Amino acid sequence: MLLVSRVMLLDDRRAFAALVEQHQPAIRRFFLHQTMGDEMLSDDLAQETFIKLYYSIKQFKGLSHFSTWLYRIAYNVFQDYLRRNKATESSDSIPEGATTPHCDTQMDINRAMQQLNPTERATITLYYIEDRKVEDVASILQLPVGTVKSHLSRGRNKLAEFLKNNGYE
Amino acid sequence: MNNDTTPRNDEKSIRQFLTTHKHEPRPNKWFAQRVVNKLPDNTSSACKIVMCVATLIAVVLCGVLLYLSPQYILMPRENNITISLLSIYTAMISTVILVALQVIRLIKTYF
Repeated sequence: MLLVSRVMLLDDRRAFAALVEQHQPAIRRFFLHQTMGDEMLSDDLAQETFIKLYYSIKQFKGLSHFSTWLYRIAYNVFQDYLRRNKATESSDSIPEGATTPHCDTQMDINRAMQQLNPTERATITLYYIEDRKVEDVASILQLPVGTVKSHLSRGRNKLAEFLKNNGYE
Repeated sequence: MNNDTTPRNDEKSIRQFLTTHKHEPRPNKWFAQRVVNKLPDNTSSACKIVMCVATLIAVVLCGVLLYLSPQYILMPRENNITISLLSIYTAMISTVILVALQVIRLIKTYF
């Protein structure tokens, strides 16, 4: 919080760099799951997120946790990316060739994530991987809690089906 | 009974699958620096820092003056208002204005 105040009040670049350093693993991981393992795209989107953060940090009122607010920016950046690419490809089809899995297990998670639509993917990532509460997820995705629960339930069913079909049970 | 336990088992196996298979970004020590390099020039931030430091110095000097000679500054004799005393008053008023400006900026930023 001290770093946020320093950036807000003094436009302190060192504090901003420290803030980026602190939050970049989580944001890059969030994008890795949205893009199904595309590291270059994830890094570009994460970079865009932090630049947007810099320009809008004065709008942060402290009503939610800073990381929740940052995830909301990240999610909006990803939505913008999907909209930009809608003309050329369908919204949930990030090119498979672009992904660079390190091993078979990561190929499996990419395949599992492909079963979900972008909203379900974001919901599942935030809830299970980033360990966020349903209320936080709702705040990040700017959706009612009930809708988030429905997305979670649908995503869970699809993943359970995938796990059953791929011998994970 | 099986129907009751199935969603719980699904939940458990999904959590386990995602925890063990999740992506972890490779360490990238230049990431933050690359982001900072893309930010606009921040000459105005230097001005803000100078203003903060100046305010701090002014407040400390006023504090020291008041501590060392409170009677001379706060209760001067009627016929003893000298130029140096007037300068001290001017400096103190400037300090109060400087502090007020900083407080207003702080309030504007947060509310």
